[in-house]
Amino acid sequence: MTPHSADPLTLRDVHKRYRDGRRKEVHAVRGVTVSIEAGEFVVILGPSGCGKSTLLRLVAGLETLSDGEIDLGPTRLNDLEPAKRNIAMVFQNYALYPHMSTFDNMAYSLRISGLSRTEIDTRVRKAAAALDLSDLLERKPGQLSGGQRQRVAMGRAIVREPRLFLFDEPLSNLDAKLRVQARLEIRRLHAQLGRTALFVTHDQVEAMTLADRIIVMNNGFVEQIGTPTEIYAKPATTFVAGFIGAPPMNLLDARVEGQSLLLAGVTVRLDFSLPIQGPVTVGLRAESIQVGEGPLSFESDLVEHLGATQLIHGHLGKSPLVISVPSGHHTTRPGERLQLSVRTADLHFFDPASGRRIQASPV
Amino acid sequence: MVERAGLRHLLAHAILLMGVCIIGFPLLVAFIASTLSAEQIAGESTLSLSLGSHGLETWKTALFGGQTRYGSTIAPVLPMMITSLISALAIALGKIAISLLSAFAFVYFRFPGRTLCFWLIFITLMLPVEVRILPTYSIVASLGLLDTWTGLTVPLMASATATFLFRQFFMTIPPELVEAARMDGASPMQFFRDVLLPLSRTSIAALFVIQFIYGWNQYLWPLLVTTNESMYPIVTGIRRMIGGGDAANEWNVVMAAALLAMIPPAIVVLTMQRWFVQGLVEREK
Repeated sequence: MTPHSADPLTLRDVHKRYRDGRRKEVHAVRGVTVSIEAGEFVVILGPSGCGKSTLLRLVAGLETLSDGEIDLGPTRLNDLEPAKRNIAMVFQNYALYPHMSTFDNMAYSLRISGLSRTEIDTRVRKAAAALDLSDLLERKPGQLSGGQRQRVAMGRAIVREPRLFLFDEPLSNLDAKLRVQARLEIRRLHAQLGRTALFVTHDQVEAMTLADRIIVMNNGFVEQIGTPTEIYAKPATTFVAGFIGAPPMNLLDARVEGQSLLLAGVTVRLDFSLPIQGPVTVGLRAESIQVGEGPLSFESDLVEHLGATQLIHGHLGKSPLVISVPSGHHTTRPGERLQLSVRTADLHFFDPASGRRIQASPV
Repeated sequence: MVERAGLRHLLAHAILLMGVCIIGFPLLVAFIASTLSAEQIAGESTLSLSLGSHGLETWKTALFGGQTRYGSTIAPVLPMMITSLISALAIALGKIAISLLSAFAFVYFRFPGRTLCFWLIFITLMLPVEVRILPTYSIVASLGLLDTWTGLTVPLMASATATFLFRQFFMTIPPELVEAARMDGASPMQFFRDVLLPLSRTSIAALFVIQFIYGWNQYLWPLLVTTNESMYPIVTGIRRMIGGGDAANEWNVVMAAALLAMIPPAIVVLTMQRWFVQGLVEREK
């Protein structure tokens, strides 16, 4: 295998159903179709229980498919044993063998595949050097810190030179500072190795910073697939809108009547047309709201200072709303009334029934 | 505070010393008796607490057998000890091997009738050898296994307790470890050998100690299936030294044999004590 050969991963209408402890059928993954390009780093993002880990385990072969097809390059993975798929996985709790040294943990898969002693030694030492583990090769997992264990888990995946890397929330057991470090490390290794990678997380910052593309999942369905910028700028559903961004997008009930939008008792004239009339859900990023002059009357309840910005929580009419403004610009006290204005171009529209995005078109 | 701690220590040590005395005194009496002559033991109404002068002679007779001064023939204890050692080792190791494998099957494999099989094994907890001794004897006899090592050890090997213990232990091992091994390409038996066995070593050690002593102390079963003197384990051998009817008992030799019977289990416990305690109280993370 040349160092930069990578395979595309294709999932076609993948389903997973199983019976839970009380024999109730659970449909964990419901028809996922994704094409991942060779060498791409794709993050599956979603809340807990959305089926993202199950999807990853289906690719790994730790769960059997109920329906659908998974192809890695020219290989059909469906009925292949995990061992035969040539896929490496990094687990959330690292799953290091507690009785083996760092070296043995990394060498185990190579020993099983019957590589020569010298080849194993070279590969492990090379991976250890890349991960700054060279001094820890004799230690057992119990004698390593959380960050070191995480790196050993990565090393165990790297030495095998697999066709595909799977990461199951590998950073969630690290403290915040280490997490940032490990994130950069993973990104750097991916650039070096150029292999296709699938990374599961519930942390949108991880997803935004790591991913070439993000798959947002909810309730077993794919909500949206796109680059971090696309997903942030054009959320496909209210779920994505409410999940991505800190704080997430404000979602307000409004009405469209002709060319006007009725929002919190104020009529706004739209300079584009919408393929919907009547009730609509309006999405509004906290940072695209201007404070000062404007037709919208807002009452603040609570102010959070985040350093560079401050978040003002409050109400617009009866709906809760969060505004993000630069710190120092204006110190808001709880209970204060503010006038807000919004550019109509910054509004996002969603169908209140289906939650799908409504595309505005020029008049 | 210091004084109170001191008092507490004193009390604790007093209780411990008392325990040591309660356990140690009978041993001391047995040892003293083994150094006296049979005549001295039979003649006195209370047990003597001073050492006699026949120790060496008695222990030699007990170990290697022979005629005593009073004309009774003593069967040598040494071959009995070897028989006991072999069967205790076979029982302990056999139990561990079978239980490990069956627990492995129960925890890591889905197969039809898995729950039923487990409960069938579990239910045998209610059927120790003593309860099923007649059917077991009849099977062993009809297979022609009387007076053989197989007949002596195999019926005692199946163990619900050990299977259950290993099952509970395996269930505490994080499932990700199996998955990691599967991703690493390990076959089930490779996982068993490379991951499960090393992780279970303290449990194995603890179980070995318990089962070795269990095997060593077997009395009823060997009594039934062995008729040949060369197949007597020491525990039944001691019983056979105590004759009935007219024969005078050579209590000094019996005491020496009893003490000899205690030595191997004591060695096993003492050498494996550290692991034994670890296996019972500690769970590796």
